[in-house]
Amino acid sequence: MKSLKAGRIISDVIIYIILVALSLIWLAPTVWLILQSFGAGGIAVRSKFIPDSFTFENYLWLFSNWTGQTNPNANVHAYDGMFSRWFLNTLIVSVLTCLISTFLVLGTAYALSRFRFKGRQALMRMNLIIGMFPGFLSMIIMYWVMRDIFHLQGSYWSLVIIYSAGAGGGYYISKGFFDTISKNIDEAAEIDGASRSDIFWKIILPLAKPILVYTILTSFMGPWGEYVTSSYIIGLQNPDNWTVAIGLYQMMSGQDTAVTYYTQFAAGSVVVALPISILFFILQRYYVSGVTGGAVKG
Amino acid sequence: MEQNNEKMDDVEAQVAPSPVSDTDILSSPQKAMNPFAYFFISFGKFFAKIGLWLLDLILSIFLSLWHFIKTVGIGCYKFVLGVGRFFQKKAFEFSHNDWAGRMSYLIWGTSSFRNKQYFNGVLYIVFEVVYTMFFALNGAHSIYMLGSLGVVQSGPDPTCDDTICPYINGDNSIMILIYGLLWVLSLLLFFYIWNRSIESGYTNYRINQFLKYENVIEKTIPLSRKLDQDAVEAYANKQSKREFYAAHKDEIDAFTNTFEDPKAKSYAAYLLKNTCTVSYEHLAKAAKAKARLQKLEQQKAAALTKRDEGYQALLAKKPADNEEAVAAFGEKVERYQVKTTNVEVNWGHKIDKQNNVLAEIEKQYLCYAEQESVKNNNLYGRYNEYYSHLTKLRNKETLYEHYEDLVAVYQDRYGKAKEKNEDNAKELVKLEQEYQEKLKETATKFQGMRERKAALNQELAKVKADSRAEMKAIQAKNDPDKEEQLAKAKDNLVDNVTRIMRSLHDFPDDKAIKAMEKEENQESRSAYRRDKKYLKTNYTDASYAAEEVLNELIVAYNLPYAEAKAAAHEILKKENGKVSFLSQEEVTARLAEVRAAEQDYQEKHPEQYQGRPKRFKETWNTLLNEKFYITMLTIPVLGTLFITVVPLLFSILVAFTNYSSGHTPPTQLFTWIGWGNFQNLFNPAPDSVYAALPNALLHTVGWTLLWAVLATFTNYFLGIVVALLINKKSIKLKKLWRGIFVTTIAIPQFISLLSIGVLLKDSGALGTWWWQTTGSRLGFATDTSTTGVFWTRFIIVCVNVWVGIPYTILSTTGILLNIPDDLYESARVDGANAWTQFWRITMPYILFVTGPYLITQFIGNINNFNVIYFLSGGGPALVGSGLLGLGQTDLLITFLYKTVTSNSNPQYGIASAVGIIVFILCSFISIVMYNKSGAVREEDQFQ
Repeated sequence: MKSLKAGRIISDVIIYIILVALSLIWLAPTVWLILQSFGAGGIAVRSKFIPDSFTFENYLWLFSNWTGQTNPNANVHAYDGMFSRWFLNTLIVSVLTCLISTFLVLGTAYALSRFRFKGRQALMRMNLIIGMFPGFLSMIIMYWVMRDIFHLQGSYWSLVIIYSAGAGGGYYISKGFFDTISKNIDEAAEIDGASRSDIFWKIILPLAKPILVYTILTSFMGPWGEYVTSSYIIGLQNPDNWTVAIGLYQMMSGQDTAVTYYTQFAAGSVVVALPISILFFILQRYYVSGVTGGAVKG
Repeated sequence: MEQNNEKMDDVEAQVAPSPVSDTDILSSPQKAMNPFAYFFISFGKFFAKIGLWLLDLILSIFLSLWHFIKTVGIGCYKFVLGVGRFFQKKAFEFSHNDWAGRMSYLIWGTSSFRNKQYFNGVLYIVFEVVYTMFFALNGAHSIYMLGSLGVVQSGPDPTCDDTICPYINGDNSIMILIYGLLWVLSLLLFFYIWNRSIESGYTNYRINQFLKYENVIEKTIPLSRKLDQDAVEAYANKQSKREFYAAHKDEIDAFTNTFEDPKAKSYAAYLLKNTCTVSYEHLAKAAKAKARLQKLEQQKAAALTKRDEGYQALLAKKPADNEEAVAAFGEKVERYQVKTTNVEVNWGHKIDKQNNVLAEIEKQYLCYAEQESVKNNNLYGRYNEYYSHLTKLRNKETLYEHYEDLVAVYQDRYGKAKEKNEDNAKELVKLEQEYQEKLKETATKFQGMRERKAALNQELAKVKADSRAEMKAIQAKNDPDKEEQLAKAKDNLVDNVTRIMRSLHDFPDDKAIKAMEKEENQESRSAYRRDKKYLKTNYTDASYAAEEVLNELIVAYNLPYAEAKAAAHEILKKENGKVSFLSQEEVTARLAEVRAAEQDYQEKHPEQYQGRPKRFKETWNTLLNEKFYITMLTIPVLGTLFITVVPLLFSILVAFTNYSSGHTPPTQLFTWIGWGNFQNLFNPAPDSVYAALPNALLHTVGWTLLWAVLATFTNYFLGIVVALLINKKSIKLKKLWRGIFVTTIAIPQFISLLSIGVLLKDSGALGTWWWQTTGSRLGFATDTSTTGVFWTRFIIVCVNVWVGIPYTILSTTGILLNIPDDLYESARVDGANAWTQFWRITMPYILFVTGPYLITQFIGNINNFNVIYFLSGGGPALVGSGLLGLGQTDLLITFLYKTVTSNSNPQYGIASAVGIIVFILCSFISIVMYNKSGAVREEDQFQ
């Protein structure tokens, strides 16, 4: 019996060692990025795990001297004072998209979970198949539609339209959740004279709080860190309209700017990641329930 | 919930080690085996399993292909058939219609105007006029332009001779394609609304002619029934549908000739012809169900025979009088019986199900004329204004006829409100008590369940402890037959444990019990609240008496609630807070009035079936109630249509054009080139710029698939391993560990990946460190040598693990916690070590539950843009990929992105062709996999 206990302790110790090692690996890049963001001395910092000297300048740069227009001169310093503008753009796009697509996703999920109508199965199957089409091929056409039909070229409003119009397709997890809410509740409410829309707004939604929070969280996080669609639709001509993802990526991809703005990039990344991480950790338990439900329900 | 449980049972049934197979491990005691041998054997078993699985996969790919071809074929056939039937129906509806209905084939909304539904009519006609106008002005041209995709090139006017020519804004091929596509799609909408207008015209006609049609149907029903009966015999004689119809043609003609009206005649002929078809279809359906039932019964019989034969064979092996051998044999027989107990039950269950199907088919069946009558009533009868008006008048008549009785009721009850209040108060107390009792009952019920479960668990523990003690004693005794005794004790233990486990398996898991309890409580609460509402305790005398009159009207005279309420108000006119009644004369006068009105109405409407379909406003109102799904789905469906479906069609079209550098709008035009892009992909001319394309594509597809497999499985298995480590019972600080891993989800991917990309650069911190320690360059995404490519790919997979594991941890943690402990208990009793437990219990369980998730992950990895693009950007370069600038780690999706966004050499046509290939690949893989994983097929069971 004693040897059994000893074995258990040894295995526990091994597991703890593995977990600590893994945690270090998992946290290292993040910690490194944060350290870099405080690093002084520009591009040279990136070859060090810990910068030689620290400064707060990088953060000050992010939210300083936005004059309301693009800096006209200077190639190397093209992005001075642009970050706050990008941040605002991203915030507007994310909040609007979040509101609209949450409504659409939950509405779709409710309709598909509670109603049986002709073509329901076909609709769901179509959605599954369409989801396999490489998404950004549709960007070519959306670029032209936004440019020549809606005249929204280079505007972040076109992003809001594109993000939220396609949102309804991601109903799976919420539908899985609605399916688990007993239908007796609906029926009882219907006997009491509630219409189907009343049931959705006054009965199902309050019961579906976890999934509501999950949907809000994911539909906010999506546009916040999205690069491919936004860079193609907004284009690279006018930095005034960029989102943070485009801005940060452009900072790093230009030969000159990558040198000038390296530490600022790190600081910008931290600022972008911070609100979303905080939000995420506060609402983590909802996220977990959403992911788990989704995995089980497929 | 129930279905959920069923599903869980399925899982358990699959996962639960069956008692017999476990004994295999026991009968060859663990300690006798060399640990290395054991390791190799289990490894061999593992590979054998994978081999089988692959074989199965290949087989199912072929099966899916065949299935796909079959489905498409049947779909096309059905589509053609459906189009034919559609026009047939339209022609029938045209011939059975009045002038307004026929007009509405051409001028929409005519019949709506005729039925005084002006708003609907205006909508139809306005849509028609506006659409036609725009189509003539713009649409026709747009569709025409699709043929050439533009003819006028932008640039200086070629016809002018001056040195400075005016600039011409030429055609834009893309916009031509988009507008053409949209106009073609809008034609579908046009035909849909056209059909709606025709339908509404026909509906109007049928509502007005309801009685005539109903008469024809009623007269036809006997013959229709007779035909049905004849069909049974004819079907049994293998007569075909056509032969059957031909044989009864004379009879049918003779019957239809009895009608004088040509429309009635043709309608009757239509009914009878359809009777022949429909009854044959029904017979075929029933025959199919019966055949399946018979097959099931045969299978059951075969299974039972097999069981019995196995039993006999086992008995035949009974050993001679060696006492121990006989005892062991007895146990073996017992185990065989345990294993086979469910055979009969399972087959019985299947047969019952099929019986229900058959019963359903037969129960539903009506002869066609009857079916048509039901449809007629449902579709057209309910709109009848004549009857609804008459019913209202008759209700009033009833009211005045029984006026005195109602007043008597009122007066009788007046003054008894206090009593009623007291009664209701008592009832309320009683109701409350009942409710509480019900709650208690539920609580005890589930408590009992839990206690029984706990008791079983205790018993299990006790049995185990006992036998452990026994074994220890045997160990200590050092008898000569120690081994045998040990084996016997172990067998004994297994039997006991299996017995208890079987009882334990009858119980749902704790979570399910809790959910069931909650649901039951909720049900009783809603019932309680509903009843409570009707037990008022604050009646005044007047309100109570009025309520009773209302009840009387509803119960005794069958008035609908709304009308009864209005009627009750009419009797009990309140003036200055005092109720007054009508005098005898007044009642008589009103009765006469109502009767006169009724007679008048009947005389004025000799054609009884006057009606109209729903008004616009009524249709509108249903959108918040029974048609609420339309309200909710319109925007998402339209959004998906314009964001995904239209672009999809567009891409498919672009794949057949030469949209590429040198043909880029708006300054240049592109045009149709047929299969040229596909030819450039697979078989380009050797000296063309596309010569390197097939190899590059093959390379990319190979790496994409390799990547998808590697990425999916590393993430999945490592994620499960980490989740298992975190969830081990003795590990503390579970939330902290989980939180640390989850940081990678919280940070936007483009940030974490970009910064890791920097870290890995030769000038980045890791690259520098590598340089300082090894003296060689890390060369991530830049070193084009074979080892360089290998390390780049290796690092990318590792980073993907870093990004992806947390998702697996989150999604499997809950599932891991839900695996019943007793499964592990029994495995441990069987002597299975951790490795076996993982492969035989944990993995099958998780795989079953997360199968669909795994498929989604696989598809997601094929299209995993972020990791590749932000980390390596596709590098190191693929030498010889020519104009495309492909990299060694480019996936199909980044390849697409590069070809599309390239400034110097965009290749939209080829990108679209590749996009179609990716699409076909993904949908094919997922269809195969979905068909293989059972969980998806049961999608409907969830609801």
